[in-house]
Order: sequence, then structure tokens, then C-alpha cells
Amino acid sequence: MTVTDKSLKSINRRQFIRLGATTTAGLFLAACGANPPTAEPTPTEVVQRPTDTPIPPTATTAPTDTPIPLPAGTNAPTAEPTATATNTAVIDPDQLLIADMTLAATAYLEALDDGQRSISAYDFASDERFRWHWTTPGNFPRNGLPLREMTETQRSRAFDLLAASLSGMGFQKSLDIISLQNDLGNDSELYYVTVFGMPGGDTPWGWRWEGHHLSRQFTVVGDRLAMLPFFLGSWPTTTQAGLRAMAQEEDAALELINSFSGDMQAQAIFQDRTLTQHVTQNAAKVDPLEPIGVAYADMSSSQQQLVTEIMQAYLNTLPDHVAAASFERIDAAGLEPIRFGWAGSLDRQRPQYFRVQGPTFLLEYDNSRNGGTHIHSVWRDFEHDFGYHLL
Amino acid sequence: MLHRLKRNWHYLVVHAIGLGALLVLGYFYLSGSLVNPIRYFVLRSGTLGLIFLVASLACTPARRLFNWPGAVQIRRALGLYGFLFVTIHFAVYLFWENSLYWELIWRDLGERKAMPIGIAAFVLLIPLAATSTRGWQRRLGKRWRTLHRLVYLALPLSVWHYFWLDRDFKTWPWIFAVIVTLLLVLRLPLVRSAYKNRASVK
Repeated sequence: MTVTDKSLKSINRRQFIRLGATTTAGLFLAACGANPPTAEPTPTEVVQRPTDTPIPPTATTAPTDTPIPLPAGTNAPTAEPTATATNTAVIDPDQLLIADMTLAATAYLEALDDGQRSISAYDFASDERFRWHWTTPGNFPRNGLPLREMTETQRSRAFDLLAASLSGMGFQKSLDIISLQNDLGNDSELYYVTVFGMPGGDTPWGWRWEGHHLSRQFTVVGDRLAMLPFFLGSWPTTTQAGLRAMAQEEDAALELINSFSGDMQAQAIFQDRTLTQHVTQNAAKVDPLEPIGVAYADMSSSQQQLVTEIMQAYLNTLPDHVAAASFERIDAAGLEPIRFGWAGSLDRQRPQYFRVQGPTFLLEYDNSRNGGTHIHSVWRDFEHDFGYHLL
Repeated sequence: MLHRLKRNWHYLVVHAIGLGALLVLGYFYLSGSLVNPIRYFVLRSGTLGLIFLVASLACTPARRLFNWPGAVQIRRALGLYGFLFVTIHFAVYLFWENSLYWELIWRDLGERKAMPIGIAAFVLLIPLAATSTRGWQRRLGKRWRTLHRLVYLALPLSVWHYFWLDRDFKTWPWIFAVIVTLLLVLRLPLVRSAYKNRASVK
């Protein structure tokens, strides 16, 4: 590697960390009452990557075809933990987030009657925790309590719990995906909430929000947490009203594959036709897949930035400091071996699949169904899924 | 001329609706104004196919119930329009949505239980459309009628296909299911003779 390459690499690495970390740190410190961080991104960077900043869940950010089933009284999701910090000294952001999630989960469970609680609550050790899927409840019957069977207050508490567990962007994306069900003639209230273990106790606990095209898992062990794996899907990719629930990842990936020149593109495309589905399916644990495609180290800085944008589209759905920590973990394991592989059409709204894989994680994006208008995507971590590393 | 038009108005109505629906589909195909053209064509052509097939099934009871011989005269045209839209539905799925990628289609057939049923319904309709001419009617004689009873199987399968698609709200599939069931019940010998007698008394 030449000196120029090295300096380029170091800049990219710095940028990479800053993407997730800077705004997160600022927001977190602001929440703790401290001064804003000094390392603010420059205006140029903000213009280049407007998605760095969590998107507030306002109506203007996502035009929806039909009302989102967010009950009245649901607290607006905040980008940062809202637990009251009495001490502005060093506070573990995980602890604040866990405190928020615990409060929300407890409030949710308290709102249920005994019968509902027996449906929604499972032992932490139950295998149910690993029984997850993204398809419609008709094709994969869910356990847990669906929104449909909740009262307005209970539903409100369920959404509060989701809002407390995700970033503003993550919450908005979830609402967008849920609202797409109306487009499909599906029941947007068939999302199931399941709590594993007892929130706030000494023993591990977790919870899951799951339904068509949206599956989020949360595990809390002591003062540590894991928010993986998660599944995001979208059908259609664009509604007649213009809603695109997964625009950033789709656009960045298409731009990236089309930015490669001849040989490099041939290396990125490991198969001419798309895969028929994502490889890892709903496995409880995954191992790295065969390395395919172009290595991050061989890409130009603008192409590397597109890879980062794709990853941001997923990781920035997590609370900000969790996203920042995830980026740091990926960086620590090494960016160079990250590979981007493609299968299928290079055109929008045609069947395609891509995979981004690094030493610690795997992102699979499958848009092969319905002529390339139906996305299934999953973010997996080889060690952190379901909090395996904490147990 | 006016007399001819008056006598054949039911043909004109069927062709106007059938060709009108084709024109609308053609317009949207050429205009490029659809955000999800594949989804639009798959859904619209499937629904249109089902409507025309149900209408063709309603012809015989309509003739008997309303003593209107014209109903039987448009049965073939309705059935053929139905088959045409179902063929478009199938072709969009096969060629446009899946680019004849057999691996993808095979997975879809295995994953969505509605798909094999839909294909079975389409396959059953092929011999009916192919033998719908007067020539084939003559050639097959009594067997023509037996063969065309396949529609009693194809249509419930089509509704079943519609019913089993991944949808939680099934208002329209239920409506089609009720209509088709009613039309099939009207063909049961016992029911048929009952309303035949009523019609003759009138």
C-alpha cells in the first residue's frame, strides 16, 4: 500500500467513525446536560451525507398512503435516551438506554391484563426468542400479542417501547414499513410484541417486535444490550403516493454497483441472475458466507462512502450511541476485508441481490421478488445476534 | 342498421367493456405513469379475468331466470375475454415479473400456496378457450359440453387462488366466492328444475 493510499485510508476510517459517532455523541452529551461536542461535522460533510442526522419522525419525512396505526398519546420517539440524568459525569449510554427500555417495557406489561400478559410474556430461556421471521403472520404464525388485540393505551405503550428502543430514524422506518401493509391489503395491526424475561430484574431480559417485513430483537443482560439481528423489508419499494421506506439502501447500492468500471464490476457481480432469496433465512445463528465481490480496500473513496451509506441505512435505525458503537466495532475488525457482492440486474425495479460482509457482520439485501419491487433485507452479526456474546 | 344494433346491443356492450378494459391497460403500459407497473398489470388483469369468467358463468342462469336468450349469445365472448385477461395476468407474471427465471418461479410456487392453484386454473381454461369455436363444438359433439364443464372447476380454483394470496383483508375474494358458489348451486339439478318450473309458471 502506498503512502497516499494509507493517508486516504486513514481519512476514510476517520470519516467512517465520525459518520455514526459525532452526531450521536453530541446528542447524547446534550441529553446529559454537557456542552456540545467540538468535533462537529463540517457543513460540507452534512450536505454530502444528510442521512447522518437522525430523521425526526414528522409527517413531512415520509408521505404515507394511509394513516399509520400510531395510537394517540404515543410519545414522539426521541433520538436519545430520555431517562433523567441527575449526574452529568460519565454515564454509560447503554445504562440510560436500558433504563428507558425497562421503563417502557414495564409500562407495557403493566398495561396488559393477566391473559394478555401470558400471551405476550415468555421466559428469557424460551426457544421462542430465536423463532423469528419476516413473512406475514398467515404464513408464519406468531406468538406474542398483536397490536390488533390491544387497547388504545396498550398499543400506545407498545409503540412507546419501540420508540424507546430505536433511533428516530429507526422508528420512522418501522412506521413506514408498517404503513405499507395498507397498500398490500394487509392488516397493519398484525405486529406482535413479545417480552422475554422480566424487565428491570437481575436476570437477562429482552423483547421483540415482529410482523410482515419488520423484525426487531432486543436483548438486555445486566448493563449491556444487543439489538440484533433485525429484518427490514418493503413491498412495494415505492408507493403510488411516493413513499419509499427503504430508499437510502436501494439508491446507494445501485449507485455503487453502477459506479464500478468493467473489471471491477465483473468482480462485484458474482452471479448474472439474482438469488431467489436471502441465503441465511431465519437461522438463529449465522456464520460468514463465502467472500464474494469487491473488497472495500479496492474501492475509491466515493465508492467506500457509498458502502458506508448502505450500512448507515441499517445501523442508524439503532439508537445513536449503539449505532456508533456498531460502526466502531466494524472498524476495529478492519474495513479492508469488507466485501460488496452483487447478483442480478443493475437497473432499478428489476430483480437484484447484494451482500455486504465484513469480519463481524453480514448484510443481505434481496430484491428478487415481484420484478424487483419487493425488498427483504437482514442485518446479522456473527457474535452479537440475540446477545450471544453477553450470555 | 338501427334494427341490427338494437338486436345485437348485448354483443356491443360486451365488446365495448372488453376492448375498453384492454385500452385502459394499454394506455397505462404506454404512458409509463405507473410507479409499480408490474403490480398494476398483475392485479388488474387477474381481477378483470375473474370478472369476465364469472360473468360468462352467470349467462346460463340469467337466461333461465330472466328469460333472456341474449345472455347465452354473449357467453362465449365473455369467456374469451376472461381467458384473454387471465393470459395477460399469467404472461406478466412469467415474462415481466420473473423474466422466465425458472429458479425464481419455482421458489415462488413452493413458497406461495396460491400460485400452483392459479396455474392449475389457467391450464384448465386453455382447452376451453381452444375449443370455443363452432367448428370444435360440432366436431366434439356431446363431449364438448362435458369438456366445458371444466369451468366449474377452473373458476373455483381461480377464486381460491385469489383467496390465498397474501392478504389479510379478503373482502373481494369473499364476494367472488359467494357469487361463484351461488352460480354453481343454481346449476345443481334440483335447484335448476325448481327455478325452471317457476319460470315456466310465470
